[in-house]
Amino acid sequence: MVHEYVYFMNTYSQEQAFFVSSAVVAGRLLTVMQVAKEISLAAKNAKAIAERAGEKANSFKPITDFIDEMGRETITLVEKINEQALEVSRSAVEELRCSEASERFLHAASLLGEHRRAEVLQDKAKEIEADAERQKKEVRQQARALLEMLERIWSCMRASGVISTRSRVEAVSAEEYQESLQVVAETIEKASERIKDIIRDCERTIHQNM
Amino acid sequence: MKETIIYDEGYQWIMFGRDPDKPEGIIDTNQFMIKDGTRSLLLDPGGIEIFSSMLACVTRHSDPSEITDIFASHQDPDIISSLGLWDKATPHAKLHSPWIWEGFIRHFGCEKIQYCGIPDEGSELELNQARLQFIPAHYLHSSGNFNVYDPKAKILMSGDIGAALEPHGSPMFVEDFDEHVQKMTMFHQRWMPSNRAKNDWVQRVRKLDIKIMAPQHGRLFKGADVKRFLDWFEALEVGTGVKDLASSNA
Ligand SMILES: [Fe+2]
Ligand SMILES: [Fe+2]
Repeated sequence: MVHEYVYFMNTYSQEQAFFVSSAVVAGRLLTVMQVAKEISLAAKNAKAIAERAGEKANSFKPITDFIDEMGRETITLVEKINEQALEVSRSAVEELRCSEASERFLHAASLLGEHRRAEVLQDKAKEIEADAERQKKEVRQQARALLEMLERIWSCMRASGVISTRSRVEAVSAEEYQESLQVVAETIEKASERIKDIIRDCERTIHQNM
Repeated sequence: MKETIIYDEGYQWIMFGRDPDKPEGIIDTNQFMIKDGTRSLLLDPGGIEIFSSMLACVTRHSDPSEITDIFASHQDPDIISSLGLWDKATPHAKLHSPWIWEGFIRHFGCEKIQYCGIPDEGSELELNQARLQFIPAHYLHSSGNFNVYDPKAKILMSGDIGAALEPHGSPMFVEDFDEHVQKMTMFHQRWMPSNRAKNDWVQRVRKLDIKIMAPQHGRLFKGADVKRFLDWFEALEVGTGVKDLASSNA
């Protein structure tokens, strides 16, 4: 039975990795959430500065609005992804449970040998294996949805990165406010880069299991 | 897994145990089945690790669709951690177990099987011919705990009461009670928490007509050894974990 157990772990190591990796992704998204909140805050700061700068920073305002929106969308997406990652993890656990049960039923059938009811157990094993297959498909589907959401965050962050680079140029016309606006823009740029890195990392983790 | 038919008149009591495939490091357990025509009851069907062996044994006697009832004396993993797998093998079955453990036992996986909580005072279960009684054995050792008594077969399935820690492959029945005592003493003193609960149980069980007392670990008691056990247990002081701690703190 010890050998049998090792066999399970090898056969289903992929699924095991899946329910672990989706939990890992959910954990990393906590950092993304924090950084996205920093972006929103920085965008609000920039907006306040631009307000004070008045006419001198007119071209800056729509930029801060846009960045703020990207930050907020990222936060909403992270919340959704967290739920989705949990779903993936749940389905992967269910798949593993079905696969394990089916293996144990087959083992019981083999212990029965020539007994007429061995077939009953084999049929049961097949039924459960079919459940496992269904779960497996669901896991893949949910994982794809997860990847799409991650990609949307990445796009948001790319956009806010590009825009904040541009805003540094715009800040030149803000005269005495130039420096503080540039500091904010730089903060946003760095934060966006950081989120993009984490997202790519998460995507790699999920892809490894697809 | 070894099987022994301990009663066979109209319906059967079958005991499974001494599993040679059992992984090392887990306690050896006795599982029971009452096969009563088209209905079968599994008593303390055991842990995940012995599930395959148990399923094979049980299927030799009954189609899984005819396992209509499962009994779990209490919530321990050696009793019922296989529940999530039985849930797939016998989704139509009912699980009879102490009401206080429902929220805990469900952690083992109980999606389809119906949980029927046994009230503290006990209850009855009718199969086809067999009429079984769930006898309260609370705090022995679990705070919600039942034995199963069959007045026709005169068998008491006593769960952890009467358990012994024995080397692998020991005989099915107690042969020399006095010699057997040493294998039971620590188990009962350390796992059983309450002298009051113990004496209350002894009084209740003395009133039953018992030919075989069948614990979940170790050997079964038959004939005069049942009374010997009750006398021995009544005189034994249990709950020694607390006392040991007190003396080591002194
Ligand atoms: Fe126990
Ligand atoms: Fe036990």
